Amino acid sequence: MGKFDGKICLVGGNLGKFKKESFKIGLGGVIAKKIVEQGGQVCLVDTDFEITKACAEAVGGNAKAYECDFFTDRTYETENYVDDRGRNKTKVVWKNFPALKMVNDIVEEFGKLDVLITNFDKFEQKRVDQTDIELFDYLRDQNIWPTFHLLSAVRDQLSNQRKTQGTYGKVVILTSMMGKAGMGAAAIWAAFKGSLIGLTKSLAREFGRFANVNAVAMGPLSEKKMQGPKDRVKGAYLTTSTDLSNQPMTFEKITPMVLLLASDDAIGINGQIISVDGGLWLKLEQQEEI
Amino acid sequence: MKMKDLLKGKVAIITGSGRGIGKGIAKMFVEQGCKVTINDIDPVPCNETVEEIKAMGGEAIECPADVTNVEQVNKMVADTIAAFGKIDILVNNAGTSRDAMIQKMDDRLLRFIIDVNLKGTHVCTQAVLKEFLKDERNDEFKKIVNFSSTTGVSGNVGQANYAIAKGGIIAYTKSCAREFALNRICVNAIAPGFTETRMTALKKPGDKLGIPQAIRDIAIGAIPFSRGGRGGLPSDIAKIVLFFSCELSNWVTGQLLVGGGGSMI
Repeated sequence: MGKFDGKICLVGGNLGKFKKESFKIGLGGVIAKKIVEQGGQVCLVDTDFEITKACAEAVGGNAKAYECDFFTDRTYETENYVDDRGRNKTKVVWKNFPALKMVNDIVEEFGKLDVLITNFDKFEQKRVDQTDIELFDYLRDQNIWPTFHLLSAVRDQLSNQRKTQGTYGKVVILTSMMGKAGMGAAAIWAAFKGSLIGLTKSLAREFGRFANVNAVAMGPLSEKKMQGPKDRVKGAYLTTSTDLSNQPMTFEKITPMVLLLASDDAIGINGQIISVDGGLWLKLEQQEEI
Repeated sequence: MKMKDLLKGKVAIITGSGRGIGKGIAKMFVEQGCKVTINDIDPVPCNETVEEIKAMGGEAIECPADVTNVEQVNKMVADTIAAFGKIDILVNNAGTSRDAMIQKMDDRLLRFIIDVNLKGTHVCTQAVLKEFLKDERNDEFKKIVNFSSTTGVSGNVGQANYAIAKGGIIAYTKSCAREFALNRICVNAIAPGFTETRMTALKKPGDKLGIPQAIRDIAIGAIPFSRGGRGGLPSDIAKIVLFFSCELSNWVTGQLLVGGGGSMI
């Protein structure tokens, strides 16, 4: 018996990347793999369909890859209708909303959707005075749009499911602890990670009756995010971590918290931003030469 | 006790100061001896505020500009330097909200709110940095005050886009504070609670801005200091901005201060 028996889970973002023709699984892929191991049905989506397909293969089991366009503007029309109590109401009818179509496809195939895990991230290091508008727009689109589209798409489904099937949905948004603490030399990226924290808390309120919405603020995963513009900053993150291993975060350290928040055990947790950073937050609060 | 001349000889750019909280800040700054640049996307309130300040005996120039437009913002900074010779304080107050539940929120609405609030803050910060990072000013304390919101701190129903923008501003503030700490630029943020402005006024049919009476009542009811009467006033928030802008806060950077009359503790 696994924790995710019978659960339909949609995992989006950072599924992996191609390195010299071979596929290297990412954090999203590792999470998906763990869910499959624990008996869940995994649906995968990323900004690049080739990556999604490769990841589904790497995850194995019953993982299914979906293609979705997150960057074309969605359009809707409003429609007037009379509800069952005879009141005049208007409702939104989406005309172009690929994520909603994907969610509907998933529900059609599997009958429901229980878990959404979003892990979309594009990192770019630039000092504030050198960040131009194009880079701002790029980071905004890459870091916010896919997450927002997926959340907007699953909202009605999770709400209806609560009424019809009595399920509580689980939404886990992966962000970075730099969104809590700020990061020199990558202010815009950190700002969008902070944005996801604001979004998590707003949606915890909006979704509260039918789904738990929480975020995991992870510590830096790669050396790249630890390097600053000056030698002084280089490696500072590593030396300030209180993690026993004194190593960067790894996928394996972050996955258990994501799985906890995605499972039924998290029924009492809502609107929380949980840091999984090896104690880096403690040290960053002291502002040690960063 | 009345504090005087806290900003004597200083020059401030206050974005979005044609109306609301920005106007309250501008007037308070002028009372404290500051010269101010009044900015608003709308030239009419911009002009009105400048006239009011001149009538008070203060010095102000008007620079109508869209804070998301790099050229217009650069011109505003250049005009300020041409008029007053320098810039000491930037208050990134310009912002707006358009509320919708997430399942009904389209990309245009999301992009508009992120751009006005977060991109506007970034563009204005970037524009004054050229002035702030000059070698000869390295020993002075320069001030940037950003505007977040209690929504950015703890979220709010129907304000996913606003929470994205304002939550981003908190992280942006801390990032800038880290990045420019060695240059002695104090970057702090304020998170006002429910404040009486055009954005929170009673919504009438056809209005884009404003909120319904029922929501207003709930919001005001959550503010213990108001005793059920009203939200915070622009002048209440202006006092916090004054603290972050004057030399009393020289040793403070990267901080967020919630001004909500007890609505968020």
